[in-house]
Amino acid sequence: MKTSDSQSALSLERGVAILDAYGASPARWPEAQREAMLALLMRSSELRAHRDAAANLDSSLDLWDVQAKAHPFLLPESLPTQHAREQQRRDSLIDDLLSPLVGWQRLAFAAAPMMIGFFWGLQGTNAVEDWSTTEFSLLNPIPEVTSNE
Amino acid sequence: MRRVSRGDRDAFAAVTAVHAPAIERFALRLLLQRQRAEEVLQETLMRAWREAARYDSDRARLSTWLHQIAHNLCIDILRRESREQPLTENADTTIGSEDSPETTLQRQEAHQQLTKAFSALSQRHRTALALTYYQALPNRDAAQIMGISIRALESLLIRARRELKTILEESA
Repeated sequence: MKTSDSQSALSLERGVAILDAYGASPARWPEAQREAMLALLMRSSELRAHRDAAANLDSSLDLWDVQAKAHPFLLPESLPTQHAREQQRRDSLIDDLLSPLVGWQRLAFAAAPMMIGFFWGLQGTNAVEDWSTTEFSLLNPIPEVTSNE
Repeated sequence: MRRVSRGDRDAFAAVTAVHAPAIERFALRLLLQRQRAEEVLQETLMRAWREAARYDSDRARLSTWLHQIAHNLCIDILRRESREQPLTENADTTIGSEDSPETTLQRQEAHQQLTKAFSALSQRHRTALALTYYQALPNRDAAQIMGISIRALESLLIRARRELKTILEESA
């Protein structure tokens, strides 16, 4: 039912505009209006005359036969994709950071954060063995003695 | 294109095999110079390779995306060349034919006449016709490539075909 609605909605003026814009071949017409256009052509001799004129121009246009040369496109080996470029950028950033260092120094650089954490842990506060005393001293601080001379 | 964006050269070769001839013909119709058209094709494919990760199949078909890249490159060339020398002075779109010499001659004459007629059109008229008539892209895609509405595209097409008809009738 939708098709018949669109067929009746297509005016002669719109039919002429379609032929003037896209030519006589239904393949080039807007897909949504193709069926309605064909139905309108069946009904309107005026539109058929217009289509013949458009077909005339089309046959001239078809003579402009431009051909592509058959040459393979060779992608340069060195040309990376955007994804690969981003990866390269990350790699080069790390390289820039580590470039002044050699062999064992790079290893030491990478291991440094782990060693710092380890020694920090060793030198931390002594473990509290008697929590009851600690809690008592924290909760009941010794009052300050003030002289009242 | 997802494979291409990950650097799959075989996938890219398959893309170029399908789309390169159409892109070259499109550039040739816009620029009317084979050498320039080949340059546009090369640059279009290079950009497609580099920027493959940016391609969004929900927004445009692959052929539309490639035509859009080629279109932008052609516009750049036309703007640059219009300041230097008009491309139409050395229009070259022909290629060898396998027909008889007489038929070939007739075809070449018609071809030259059409090349001349097309070169007289404005760049926007030529682009609209090339995209919808010769590249047979849907009007929505052609309008998207040109960055205009479908209504504006149709208006350009109507004027382009009328102008072309007049030029061809005058030269006949």
